[in-house]
Amino acid sequence: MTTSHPEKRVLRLPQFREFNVLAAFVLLCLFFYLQRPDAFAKPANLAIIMRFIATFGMLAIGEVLVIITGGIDLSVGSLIALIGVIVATLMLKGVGGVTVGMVPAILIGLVIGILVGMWHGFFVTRLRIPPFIITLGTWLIAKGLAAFITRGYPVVYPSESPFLFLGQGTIMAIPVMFIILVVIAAVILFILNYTSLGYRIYAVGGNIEAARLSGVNVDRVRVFCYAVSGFLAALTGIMLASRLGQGTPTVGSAYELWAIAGAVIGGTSLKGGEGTVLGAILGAAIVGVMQNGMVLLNVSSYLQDVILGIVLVVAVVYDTLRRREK
Amino acid sequence: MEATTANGLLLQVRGASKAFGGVRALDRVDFEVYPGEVVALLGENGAGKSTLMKILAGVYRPDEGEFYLAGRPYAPRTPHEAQQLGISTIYQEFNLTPNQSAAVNIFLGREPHRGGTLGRLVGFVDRPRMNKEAAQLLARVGARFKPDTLVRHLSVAQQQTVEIAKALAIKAQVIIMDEPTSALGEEEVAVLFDIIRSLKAQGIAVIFITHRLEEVFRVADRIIVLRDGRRVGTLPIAEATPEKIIGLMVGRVLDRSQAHISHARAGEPVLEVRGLTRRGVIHDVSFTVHRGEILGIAGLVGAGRTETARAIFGADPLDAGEILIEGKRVTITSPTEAVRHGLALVPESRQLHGLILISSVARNIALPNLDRLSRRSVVSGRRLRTLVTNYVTRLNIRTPSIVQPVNRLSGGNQQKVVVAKWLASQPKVLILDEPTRGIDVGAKAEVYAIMRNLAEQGIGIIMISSEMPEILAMSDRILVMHEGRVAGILDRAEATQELIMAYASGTLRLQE
Repeated sequence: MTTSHPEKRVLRLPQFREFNVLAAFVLLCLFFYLQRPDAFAKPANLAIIMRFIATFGMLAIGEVLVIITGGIDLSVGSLIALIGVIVATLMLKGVGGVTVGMVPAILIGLVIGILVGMWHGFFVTRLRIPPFIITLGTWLIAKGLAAFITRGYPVVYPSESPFLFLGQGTIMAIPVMFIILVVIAAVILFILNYTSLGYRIYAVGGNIEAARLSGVNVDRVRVFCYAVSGFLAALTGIMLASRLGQGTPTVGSAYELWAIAGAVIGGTSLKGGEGTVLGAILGAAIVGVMQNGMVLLNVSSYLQDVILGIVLVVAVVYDTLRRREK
Repeated sequence: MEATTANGLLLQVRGASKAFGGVRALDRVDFEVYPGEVVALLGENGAGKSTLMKILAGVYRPDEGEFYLAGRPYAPRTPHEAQQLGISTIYQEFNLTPNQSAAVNIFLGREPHRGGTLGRLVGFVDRPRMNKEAAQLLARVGARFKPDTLVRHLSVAQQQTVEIAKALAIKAQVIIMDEPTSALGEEEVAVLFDIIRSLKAQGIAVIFITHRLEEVFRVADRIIVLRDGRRVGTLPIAEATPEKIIGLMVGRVLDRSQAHISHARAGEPVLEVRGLTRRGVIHDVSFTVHRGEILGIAGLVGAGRTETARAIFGADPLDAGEILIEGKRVTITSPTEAVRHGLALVPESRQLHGLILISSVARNIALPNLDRLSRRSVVSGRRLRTLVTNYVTRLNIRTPSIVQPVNRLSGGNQQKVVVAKWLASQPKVLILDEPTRGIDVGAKAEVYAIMRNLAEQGIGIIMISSEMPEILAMSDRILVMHEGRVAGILDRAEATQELIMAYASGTLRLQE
């Protein structure tokens, strides 16, 4: 029944799956460079782009993990704000007059992210609550809590705080944020491609019942993915607080949607079972470069959203048709 | 109202044939129904009952054959058209919307409107009229609930009456019922039969498909038996006996050429199951599988065979019962534990439950074996390739490479991938649920050879199958299930198709 079509294979582009996304990214960079050779390739602008990619790439990696298993995580945008606010409050204001050092504060923030993710996993696996609903609930709760903790005001770091190095510093002209992304991406890429857990994650997304009947502990696999998504949202929240020099309840609004868009542009299937770390980062990079490039070209900020929306739809339609042709 | 042909027939089918990809599901079948007649359509699994029924219901189009309903050619292109023409089908799974009322369901798509032309245009439903008419229809089938009751608040039996009322609302002349009693209790069955008798009195014909022979004698006027896609006999109820019917159903010449040579049951018990119960599904199922033995499980669709396998494997929760592996009591509450205890299950539907279709041959085979293939949870690519290549060769899986997605393989090769992944887990007990369904003859022979080979290596094998020749040829012993219970366990020497069928249909019961 599944006969292959050799004649179609001729038209198929090179084997590795992110090729199309990479090609689109390169073409975009080339386009903006040719339009604004003076501004686009400047080190300062490249750093902006890299920080952007670091932010959305990190979140997109989390989304990819969750989406591969057939779920979704809508909470990350608000979680960014909440963790940023918590870490800033712990370090600067303290709880009951006792402040916490930078490293413990960061660790506490990351652990809270993981716990929130596991909380999602618990609802999804044990109580069979749709991931859309439970993470939407957290989205609202985290948003409200962040504003409640700070009474709506940002908690500002003093300009000499070493904490700011994370988001503002560079190592050999490369933003620290971007280096963190590369490290995280390498770890997740390794887990997904070379460990038994990675094999199981794809299996759960490909056919959860078959995976379960193959002896895979499907609940544990899914909880892990939500936990990683929560962890990466917390990490992003910390990086952004450092970047902005403050923990503020208004940061991160709608970031979950950009992260999902990045993952999808990068070839992740919302049906589950398919998606890669590289694709997620490239997808996030495309969104980042487009936003940056459109600013450089003085495109109206309203129109920017319109164009990005169109890109998202075109990417998904293209991907769907490509899959169907198989 | 009911027009019939000159010969008095309401429905007449001549020479109906239907093939699916080279397999003849229905082979020149004649079929006829008189007005107000109850016809029982009988046959083993795969005899062609469903195919014939689905042709009449407008789901399939026949390859050939002449069809007449009330003297006029009958060729529905869709189920909707079949209903319009006068044949309604009530499937085991009801087509009702649970959150709407019985009345809404009865008139779904044909709601009476009020408010004149404008009302019709905007679809303004005349609820009072709809409820009134629904009440009349429900009264005709003896229902005692209000027409505005939500379907989800109705019992299965009551939902069935909604389906029947719906058929009456469309003015059905023939109502097909597919195993209408399978989900009903004894009293509800009696009520349903009363309804069928009253339909009869109203001149409506009923085609009744069932696996329970005793019911046939309570309600049918005539019995038509199919076997291997052909009509093999008709019996007026007065002349029918269970023996005659079973004889017609199974009367196939058995091909013993592929018979599995029984190696005297030397092995000790490897799996013992005692009193396995899952409320409403399986009851008090007990049996033993020995090392090197193939235990066949026979029974009709819905007899609880798959459910038994899933329960042993930890896929569904148990209400009672114990499982012993190599004489030791084990608790299995998930497939993960089942695998750890050396069980393997090749499920009935390889596409739904056996394979990750979008994933490669290698990943599918690796899945239950990942722990063995990895060190500190890093999968060794080398060990994985060796293992997969080994089983691809041993089972002769035809694939261009081990990274080929399994959805590009043929059914037989897909099935071998499922078998391969479990063989690689080196199980003590291998459960195969319909291992040769939907695969071609060559692949079947290969699967049989693999099973024999495994049995010789001392693995205990459970084979669930709906194909009699397969059961008889491959099994050392045969367990027959009927309505969730063990109806009988037969030794290979004493097993015949007639005997198995007698147990499977409930005419014979295990004597305690």
